[in-house]
Amino acid sequence: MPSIAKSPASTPRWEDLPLASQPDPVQLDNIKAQLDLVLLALEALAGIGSEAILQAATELNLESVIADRVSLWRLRQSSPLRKGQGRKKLDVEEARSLVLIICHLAKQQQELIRRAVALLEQLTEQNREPHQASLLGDYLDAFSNTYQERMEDGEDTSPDVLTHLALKLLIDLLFYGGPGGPRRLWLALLDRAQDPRQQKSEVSKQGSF
Amino acid sequence: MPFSNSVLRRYTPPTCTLEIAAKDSPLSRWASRPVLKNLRFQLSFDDPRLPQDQQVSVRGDRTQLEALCEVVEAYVQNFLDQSPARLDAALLVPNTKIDSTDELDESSQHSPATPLSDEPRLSPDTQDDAANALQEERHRFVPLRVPSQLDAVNKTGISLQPKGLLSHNLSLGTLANETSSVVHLSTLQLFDLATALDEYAAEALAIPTLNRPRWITTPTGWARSAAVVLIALGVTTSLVRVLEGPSTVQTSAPTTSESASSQDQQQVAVQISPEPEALTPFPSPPGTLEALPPLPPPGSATPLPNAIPTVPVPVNPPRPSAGGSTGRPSVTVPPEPILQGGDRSIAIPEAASRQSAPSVAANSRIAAENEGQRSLSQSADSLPELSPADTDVDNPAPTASSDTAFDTLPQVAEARSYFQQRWQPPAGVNQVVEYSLLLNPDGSIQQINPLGEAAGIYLDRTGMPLLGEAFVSPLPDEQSPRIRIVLRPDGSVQTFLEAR
Repeated sequence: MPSIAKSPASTPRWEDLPLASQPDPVQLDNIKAQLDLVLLALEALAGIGSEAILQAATELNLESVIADRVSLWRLRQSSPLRKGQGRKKLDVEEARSLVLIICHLAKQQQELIRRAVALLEQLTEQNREPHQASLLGDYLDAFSNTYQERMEDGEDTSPDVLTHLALKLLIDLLFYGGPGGPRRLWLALLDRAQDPRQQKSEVSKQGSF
Repeated sequence: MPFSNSVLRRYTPPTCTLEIAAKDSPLSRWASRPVLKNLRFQLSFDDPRLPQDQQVSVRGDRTQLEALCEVVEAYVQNFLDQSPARLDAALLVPNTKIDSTDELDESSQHSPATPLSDEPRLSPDTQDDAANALQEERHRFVPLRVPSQLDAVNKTGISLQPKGLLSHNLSLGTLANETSSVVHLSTLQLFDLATALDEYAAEALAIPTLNRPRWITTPTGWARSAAVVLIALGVTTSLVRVLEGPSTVQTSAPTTSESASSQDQQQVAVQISPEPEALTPFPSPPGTLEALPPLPPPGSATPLPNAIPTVPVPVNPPRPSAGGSTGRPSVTVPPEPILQGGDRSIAIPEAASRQSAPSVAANSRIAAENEGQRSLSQSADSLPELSPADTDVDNPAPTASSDTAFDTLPQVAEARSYFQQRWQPPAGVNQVVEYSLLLNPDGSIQQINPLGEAAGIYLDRTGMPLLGEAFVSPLPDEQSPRIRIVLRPDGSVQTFLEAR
């Protein structure tokens, strides 16, 4: 576990994203998959596409890492969960850049994310299905559709599982958009990647790696 | 709070408010962010969606705030670390059967807006999986980043437990007040809490109590010696003046009898000085107390026996005077005309003679008062320190007895027992920690004046009540007395009433 340094949460910096040792390929794959999923959630919720992502890259001075649509596409495509698995290896710098970009976007969409979570809490409190709120319903639909389209196991994953996945990602986005977001996302990625249980379940769920 | 360079901060995410009151430390200029000391905080869970009476508010000190930060941060990270792939339906619903296995059943008279949905229709194995998952996750909630932080968390008993993904229970531990010990938080409220704490942590650095190197305190010792000598001179001068006055002047004291050595006189004078300012009841040994009553009030015309007025002034107000215990003080008992090279010194408890019977004392007080009261009381406090070096006055270990002559007001004793229960000298404390507290008539504290550096540093370790908080019983006649609190490195506590 990398050590955590508490630093001002104003601008995300590399120091916020510490790395004790180079993740092995399996871990990197795991990280790729997770990043892709988070971006998927952002896309489904706020319609964030490559344009917005590249825009964010520019704002954060990360164009050197994520220069254009093509490289972005290949980056995301490199996720092991995707259909027609790309062979592109995600390197650590690219991973960090994506982390910063994701949190930047999550911050921009804070209001929307917050509203969605509030709705979720309300509906759950009232024991109603999340789909009943249009904001959530649209999100869940978009998420499921896109997931099924793009992911290798898309067709095989049950709607319930997808719903839960989408909702967990939604709540995660809330925290990624807050102060210290990049650090939290980064640590979560590393933690999950290092946890053998996680990897197993990922593998067994996804079936391929 | 009467801090000279106080720092106030407010963090106001939508569903809670975090307020910080602290003092800016001189170290700030060398740090990249403000360094705070004597930190107090108030955290209000004031989600507007909650009815007023369900909005919980807690207050605490630096340690508790840091523990809270640590717990929340670790919990949030843990929460995020859970891979979505492992979640089951059960975890999304707030009130599932799993909860009964939590150690959450502390009394929580509060349940603000907690969703109480019906139990989900779960198949047994899903439930088990979820229960297991939750069980495993819980083990990871222990914050293990830094041992000192873990220590703070352990000490304060603050913790967070999940109730599904959308509801979280914050156990307040030592932050609990009489109305609630657990706060139920929705995910949004948790996020806001984490945000406020993060923003605070990013903005400032709160320093813990510092262990000052010994050599730093030495200069103070010198200053004290110097102050005492000066005062002694001043008092002696006034005494001499007085002595030359008409003998009917009772307040005139010391008919410094020839029997007294000038040394004694000096000491007497020295000892007199503290009186004026800190004429608080001194814990004097019961034996000597009796000697006091016969003291003629200043106003009386009875001349003092011509012996050195035993300046019953025990050298140090804060410490039980050398009192009869082992006293080698050269001060003698007032009523006893003769300077007995005395083994007894009498602290004139204010009770015995508010008017400060020993005319000497009265006189010196008058003189001394002109010299500036504050410094006197300071030096008075310092006198004891000098005793080994300069005076003969002994400073035996403080009498921690419950019944001392200082207890002219019951509140003084109450204050002492209050602090005796709470004062645990932090490691490395080697000075007295002293405060002057101005009380309100209702018994709460109106003003806290730390005396000396140590007092400022260790304030949050003393268990000092907040201003306006109940402290001692209400005072008769709408009085607002000042009480001195002395906390020793050996763990003992002394209190006495300060002169008005």
